[in-house]
Amino acid sequence: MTEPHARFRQAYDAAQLSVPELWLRYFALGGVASELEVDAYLNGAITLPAFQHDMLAHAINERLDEITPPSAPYSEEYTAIDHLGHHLSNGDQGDPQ
Amino acid sequence: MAEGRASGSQLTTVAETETEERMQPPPRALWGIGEELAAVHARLSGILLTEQTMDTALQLITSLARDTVAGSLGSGVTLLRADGQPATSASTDPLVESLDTLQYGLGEGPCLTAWAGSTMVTANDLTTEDRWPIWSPQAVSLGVRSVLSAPMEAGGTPWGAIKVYAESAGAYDERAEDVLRRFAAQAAIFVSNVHLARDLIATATGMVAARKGLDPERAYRQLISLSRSARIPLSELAERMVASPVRPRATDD
Repeated sequence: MTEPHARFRQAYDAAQLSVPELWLRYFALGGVASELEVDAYLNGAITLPAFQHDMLAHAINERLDEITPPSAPYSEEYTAIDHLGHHLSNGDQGDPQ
Repeated sequence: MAEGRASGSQLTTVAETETEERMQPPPRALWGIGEELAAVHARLSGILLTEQTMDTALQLITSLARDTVAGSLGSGVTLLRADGQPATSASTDPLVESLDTLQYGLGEGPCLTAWAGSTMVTANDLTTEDRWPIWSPQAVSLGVRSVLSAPMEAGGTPWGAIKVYAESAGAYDERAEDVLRRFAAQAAIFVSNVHLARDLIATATGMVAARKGLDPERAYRQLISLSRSARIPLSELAERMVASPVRPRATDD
């Protein structure tokens, strides 16, 4: 088990979600792996495509956002939403990076 | 806000979602932005809505229903395809599965009646039941006497029906009906929200992909990083994007 996977597992434990609950959130985000596969992946028994991993990670992170105390936003976060709206409605404005 | 959501509290979650009215279907105007987007969206939907994964969600619903309605042997839920054919179903045990398979094979049964008539269906003694003359005796021979079935409807869509079975006659009273009816309504909202959330995210991904010339995975990853940096849940972000007015392409500035 690699170091990132250990961190992934720790984040899942901290999220206080049962496997079915996590799976539902992941499914709602567009995930296609089954609940059994997600369970096996959490236990390091199987691998998942990177894209599926990212959806799963995001489901865990959104949950962590819900249950942790709020953190103070940095200045760039003040403009993140405006930037987002601008960026999306104007189409090809390109990335900041 | 969402604190205290412990395991087994899906019902609360569904109720919260209902009052928040978070999930709205994408506005029709969206389709004006280009055929390529429609194509991307169609492709994504095809990938995203696999039967295997929906089955797992339904499985959760059935176990909740069986445990919620007292005295039930088992529970089953059936969703209907867009063409109106009963297809995807899930059940708590093989008995319910055989009873369901029988219903759809015969084209008659409590679930089909509940779904087709948008009405609660109660059968207190299947030995004397005449609404399903072929199905009922077979159900009795499998050890079932009572059945309760409620239609699952949300947002004007009849998603399917849910049912519970019991061994004894007269197992279900008005209170059980009430519990299953409310449960079905919540389960329907849940099913439609999960679909709408996936649909909104797929649509938003398609929008980003089409506008920036990215493949769907890269577009999705970009949405994830926007969701992280703006601290907005992905489904909410997708909803905002889909709801925001689309500007004409060639503007002078």
